[in-house]
Amino acid sequence: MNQSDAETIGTALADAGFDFAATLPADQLHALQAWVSKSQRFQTVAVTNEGEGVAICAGAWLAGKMPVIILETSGILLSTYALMRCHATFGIPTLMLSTYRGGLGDQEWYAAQTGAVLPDLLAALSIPCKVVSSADEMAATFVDARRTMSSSLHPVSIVMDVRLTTRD
Amino acid sequence: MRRSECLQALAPMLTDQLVVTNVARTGFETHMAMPREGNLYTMGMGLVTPVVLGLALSLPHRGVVALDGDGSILLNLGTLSTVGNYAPANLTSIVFDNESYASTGGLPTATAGKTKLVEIAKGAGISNAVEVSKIEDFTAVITKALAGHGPWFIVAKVKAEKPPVEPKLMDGRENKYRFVRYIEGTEGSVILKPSVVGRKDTAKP
Repeated sequence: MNQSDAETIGTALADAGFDFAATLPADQLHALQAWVSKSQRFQTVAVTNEGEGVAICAGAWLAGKMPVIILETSGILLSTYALMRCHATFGIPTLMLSTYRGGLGDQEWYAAQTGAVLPDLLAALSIPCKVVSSADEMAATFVDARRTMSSSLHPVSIVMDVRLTTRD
Repeated sequence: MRRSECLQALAPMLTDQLVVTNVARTGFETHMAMPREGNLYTMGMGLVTPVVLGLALSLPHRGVVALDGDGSILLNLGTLSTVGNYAPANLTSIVFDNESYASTGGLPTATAGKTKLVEIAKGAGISNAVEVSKIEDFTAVITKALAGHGPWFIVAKVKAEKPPVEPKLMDGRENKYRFVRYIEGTEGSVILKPSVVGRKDTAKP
């Protein structure tokens, strides 16, 4: 992701009301993660795995924060236990803002299967998902995500497609 | 030392702290010893301490307590590194270590072997990491922990047993609502916003 898109997306995230961010390393997201980590508009936590990250986000939501975890596609797979045993069981929302490794156009063999199962995985978890391909779409999408989180008390997924996260 | 003894000792020391418990008997015994609106019971294995960490970082003026277990924390040891690095002074994690998966058949956990949770916690950066096996020592360290200067990681060595428990007639969702309402009431905040009727959401676009 380029710096301009990172700033646009980070600003839109904060403007939509998100104020707590858990982050993990992700090759295509480091510009966004660096921007969010430096921003005074977010309380950020660098976590050790995505399951821990979404659980920390759950605690933040219980305390009144509006949490987002910024993560790799494979991190969604890693977080499924926490999402079901914590978020779905108790009714706790969290936004998952992720890459779409293995999505259409990804050229790395190791990502292909992860991307292939992502839509069905999110559907199986009853997590509503929107795939976004432009930074300009993010402002409205974040507001919609926050509204759905508050009404459904369930996680929401926004997946940024390959062209958005790999644009120079 | 018994877990129920520890909970009986802990109960009168709590004021407005937020407490999250582990699964199985830890949740039931906590509900029996100290039923409170500020308790969230039966969080999943490996999730107790991270959920409490999220609470602690978000409400730094308020004490938060994890009632965790050895099997649970072993499932997610990475979170000790996050606790150590962010070091919330208001966090106390109590791990009832019975060296077994007592509620599910009694198979030994790693702490029945060579693993020392206190040493792991210290290595993760939590300097206030202590192990106690007597109730008077437990009470003494809890008194210090609840005064702040955390994070605290307290390993309470307890017997592996399955005492009879009373039913807890509340599921996780009801528990969550009551817990959040308690936070809203004591923090003066609005967390639950189930409908826009009568309330303006002016966010654009």
